[in-house]
Amino acid sequence: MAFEIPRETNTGSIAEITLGATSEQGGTRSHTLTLGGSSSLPFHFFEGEQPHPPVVAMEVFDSVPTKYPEPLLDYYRDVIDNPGEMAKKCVEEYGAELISVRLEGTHPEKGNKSVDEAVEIVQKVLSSVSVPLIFTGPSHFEKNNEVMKKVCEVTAGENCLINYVETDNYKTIAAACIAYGHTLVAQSPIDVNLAKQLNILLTDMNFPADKIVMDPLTGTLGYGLEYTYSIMERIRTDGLAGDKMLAFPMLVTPGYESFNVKEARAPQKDYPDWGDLAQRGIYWETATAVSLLVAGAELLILYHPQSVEIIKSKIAEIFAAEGGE
Amino acid sequence: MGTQIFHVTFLPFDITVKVPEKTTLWEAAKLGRLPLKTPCGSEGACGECIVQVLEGPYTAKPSASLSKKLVTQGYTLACQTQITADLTVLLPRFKELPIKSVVTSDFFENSRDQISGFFEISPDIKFVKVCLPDPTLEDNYSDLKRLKRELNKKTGMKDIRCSFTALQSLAHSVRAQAGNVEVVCESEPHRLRVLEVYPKNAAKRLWGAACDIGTSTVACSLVDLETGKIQATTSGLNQQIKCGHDIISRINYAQKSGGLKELQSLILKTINNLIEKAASVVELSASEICCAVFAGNTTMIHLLLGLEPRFIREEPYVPTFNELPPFVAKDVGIKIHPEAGIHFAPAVGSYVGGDITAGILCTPLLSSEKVSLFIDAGTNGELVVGNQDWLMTCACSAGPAFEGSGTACGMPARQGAIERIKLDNHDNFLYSVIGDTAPQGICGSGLVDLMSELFIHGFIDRQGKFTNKATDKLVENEDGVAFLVESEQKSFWGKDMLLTEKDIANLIRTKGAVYSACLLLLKNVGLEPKDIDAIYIAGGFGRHLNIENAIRIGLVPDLPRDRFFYLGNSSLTGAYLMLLSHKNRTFVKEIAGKMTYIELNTEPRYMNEYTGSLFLPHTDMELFPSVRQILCSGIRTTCT
Repeated sequence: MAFEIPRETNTGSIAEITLGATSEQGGTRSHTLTLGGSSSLPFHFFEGEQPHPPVVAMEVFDSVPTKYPEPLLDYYRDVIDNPGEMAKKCVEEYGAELISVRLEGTHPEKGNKSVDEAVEIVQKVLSSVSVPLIFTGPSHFEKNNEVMKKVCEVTAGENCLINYVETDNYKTIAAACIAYGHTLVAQSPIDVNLAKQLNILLTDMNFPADKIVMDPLTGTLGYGLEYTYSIMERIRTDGLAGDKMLAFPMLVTPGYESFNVKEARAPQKDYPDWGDLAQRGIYWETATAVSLLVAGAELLILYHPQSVEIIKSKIAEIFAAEGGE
Repeated sequence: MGTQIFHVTFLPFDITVKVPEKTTLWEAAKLGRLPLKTPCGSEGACGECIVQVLEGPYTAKPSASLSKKLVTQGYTLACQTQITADLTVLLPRFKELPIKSVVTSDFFENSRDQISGFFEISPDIKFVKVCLPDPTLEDNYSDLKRLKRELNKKTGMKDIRCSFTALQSLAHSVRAQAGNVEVVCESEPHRLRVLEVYPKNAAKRLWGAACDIGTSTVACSLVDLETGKIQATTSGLNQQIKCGHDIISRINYAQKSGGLKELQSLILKTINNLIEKAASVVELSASEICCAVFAGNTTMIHLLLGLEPRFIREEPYVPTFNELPPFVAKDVGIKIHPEAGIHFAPAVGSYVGGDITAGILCTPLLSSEKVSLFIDAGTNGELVVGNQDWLMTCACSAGPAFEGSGTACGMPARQGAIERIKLDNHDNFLYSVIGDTAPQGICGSGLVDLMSELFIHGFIDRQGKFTNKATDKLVENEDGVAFLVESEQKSFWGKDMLLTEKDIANLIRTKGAVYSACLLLLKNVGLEPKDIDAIYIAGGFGRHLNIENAIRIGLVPDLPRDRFFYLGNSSLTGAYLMLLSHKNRTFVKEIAGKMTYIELNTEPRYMNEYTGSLFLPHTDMELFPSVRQILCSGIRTTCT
């Protein structure tokens, strides 16, 4: 008797979220990207549909990142202080499918760039690349509201992904997203209930349920990745089981998390046993990203061009082998 | 001439401090480490440091937050008052007040024959009336010997012990009415203890005290042991609150040098004040009370007895005792008859105490095959599920929000407390106050109503934050925005009665802790809420708890309303039953022995259940179908 794979079918499916808008849709992007839609656990092609493969974004900054290790900086040395050019390089040379613009320099304690300066950067990136965009605000409630409100306004109709709101600060930015037609990242601190609560609060204020992406706030390898993994998995299984308030695509940030820890940054002369720094950063980011892909991530923001290459080729490989059946 | 020194005594703490002339009352209170706050920084603006001067002249700057009426009654703001003479000052929040007896709650009155315990009036304390023949030269036995001889004849008891107090008045008592005496005896199985000897017709009655020692509030009932009637009940805040709001902070406080002694003396003062106040209601001297029963959580009883509480909070959470033998009042420090027997409701463990075993006594849990649930939503929440064959229990740290602490407008259920609230069609509050006075604050049942009404009418969202609809009713103060429940013109303290978002968050944490513990306890025995036949709710909420509202905020499971019974202060009722009959004291030990304790601290699912419960009514709306229906019926726009 032939072996039969036990199948688990689900009653629910993950919401399909489209990012970006072409000129017919009122934007200026050359194409749109769709996330989610799956009716099975990630890559369980034998159990359900996974119509859209996960996508990889890269990040540019409003102020030169201080935490980039030298080997990573080598890829961007000529463009690191020019977000428009850096975005272009990421898309054209390194294959980024989206660009995230991190506006942390507007944080009152990290440069306190003005709203106008932020807007200028946003517009520069908007005109340099034609892929859908993510805008990531500062970790400061008032400033985040102030900056993102304006960013939403000047990018009206582009259906950008506005990153992020959390339970204690969501109303202003969510309202701006509704008004200007953007999609929103709902971020919660690695907890199934808190994630669900924020989504309920958003939909309670009539935020459209097809415009939410969740960020479960993941940790990198060695910094709680296992916990993150199991929370994401639970969010996904609840979502597939029919809990609509948990059935949203998930955004993760392995680049930001990995290049924040010393394992991916400390020079080899300080830690001879740890091996070549140039390779180490890629390994760290890639190991984190692959784990999160398996946990259910649909959108990954990566930093290292080689990580992007590896992750993109892995996704393509799996989909070519299994999804093409 | 040097600076004059004055004595300021703070009641009910009975703490006296010596301060130089012109010190403010606030500084004096700080010196005495009294629980007064001045969130406004002693500017006289917030009115939080209000005190009542009972004796002595003082000078105070006028303050906008103090009405004329209050000023004439001696109320003043401590931070605006200069000391110019010896003073006696009362902290009004801690004042003990009589309450309408909770024991006469409808449930207990209607269900006396269904409860697990026994409703019978056969106390250990009895009058034995004997007549001692006059001594003669032939029969020249001592007074004591002759008393024992007569008591032996009357009761058949051989082992008769006379208390020192009785002995002190014996010579005169036996001679006042030609040898006719009424002897107050405590009968034990093989022994008679003589507490007091009165001459015949001394018009004395037998009194007992039942006492519930809660972390936040303490209540005391005075019982006529011959009729079994409760003649007075008093309640007040546990004075230990000045050392911390919950059990853990009290245990930590006990670790400081002198801390345990201080905690012991504070709880003794609280209890003794309440007993004295109750005694004065029936015009009685507290020394005529011949028996007392105490029910309280394990930590409270440790502190009352001055026992080291540290190991209650350290793994593996072992208390000094679970069950105590009877003691006598003078050893414990309770100011009633010095020889009065003091009984304690037995504990199950460190976190399920005598208040729970006593509480079970007055529920029908053990009278049926059907499974019921008992919830005591005190500062430490405890739950018991079971039937006549088995009992399972767990505890959770709920917080004191429903007992009147931890929210700005909260107060215990006593005179002046808003106990019910409703919003009318024009979004105005209708409320009723215990004692029909101007409202001083809101007790637990009122807070449950308030939360529910604000939620259902869309003034707060599901995480308890104010919505746009609430904007017109919000006022801004130092703590951020707050909902105006009653204006300064109408409130007793002459200042706005406010509910802040922080208060709401506190209430949500409390209800969340109780509900998640409930769900988990049931899961542990393989049950779901719908399997529960009856739910008995106890706690310091007040006289009435609106079950519909308790469900709407997600405090208790969404079940048919007729399965719910509100008991009021079941610990006090249980103590009362233990006072009435020895049988109950034996039975309550059996109850304690039957309970299996589940430790939630080590339960990995607890945190998940808890965060799920920190939402109105719950993150998972499936658990509250009737609330969903109300929300969908139109008052609110969405109901996901």
